[in-house]
Amino acid sequence: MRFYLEPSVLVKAFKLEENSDKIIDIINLFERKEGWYGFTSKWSLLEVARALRKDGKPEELISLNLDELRRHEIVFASVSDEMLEESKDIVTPYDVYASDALHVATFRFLERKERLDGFLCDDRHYHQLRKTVSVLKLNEIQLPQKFKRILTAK
Amino acid sequence: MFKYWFTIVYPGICLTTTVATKLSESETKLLEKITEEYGFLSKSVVVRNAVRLYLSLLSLKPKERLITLRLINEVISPSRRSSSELIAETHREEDET
Repeated sequence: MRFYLEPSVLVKAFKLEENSDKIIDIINLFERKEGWYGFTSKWSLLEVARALRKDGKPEELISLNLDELRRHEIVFASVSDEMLEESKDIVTPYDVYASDALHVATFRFLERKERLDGFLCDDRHYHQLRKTVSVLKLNEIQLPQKFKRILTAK
Repeated sequence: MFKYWFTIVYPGICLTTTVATKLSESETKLLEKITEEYGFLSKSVVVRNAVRLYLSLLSLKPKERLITLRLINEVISPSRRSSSELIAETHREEDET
């Protein structure tokens, strides 16, 4: 499976909330190099940092979290002029925020190059973005049986 | 500038590494406060413990490291809002500026 990870899904990995265990399991699957790949935009790092700041996390902790995120097998795609152009064509007709448009444009760009299976996001973004891309919610993702057995054994 | 030393002991060998680092004013104040409050012998001991703790965190397997960091996040600053709400709020900020 090849996913684009929207920032709210990434923030979930650093918070104790619904499905945060699941995103940690998915990130762990990327490390195992068994056909699971994660992609996002470099812009996501800024959004994650801002979200954690909004959540009251101190600067040092935010820095620790971002360093951790970069250590995992997630591809952080650079923001290109081509993506920004495509974002412009998404913002107005679909009435989405600029950041969401950039993520959709990045997803479409990577979808063409990396054959992504879906855009992984939370419930709120699912409703906003489903008209623009093939979105997936975390609870729609089935972890491989082999991986589940490994987790149960632990 | 604040200097600290730590020692790595192998069987029969004793290696000492001296590392110098710069701390900001607030970090220095916090270090002094913690040294005094927790009765450490010196600031070096606090820094050495901090280094050990951080190295221990980095030595964990990726998944365990992420789970531990999530726990540290919750202990240091408990979550007030969901990740979905936080991202939505950052987007609204962009619109307001």
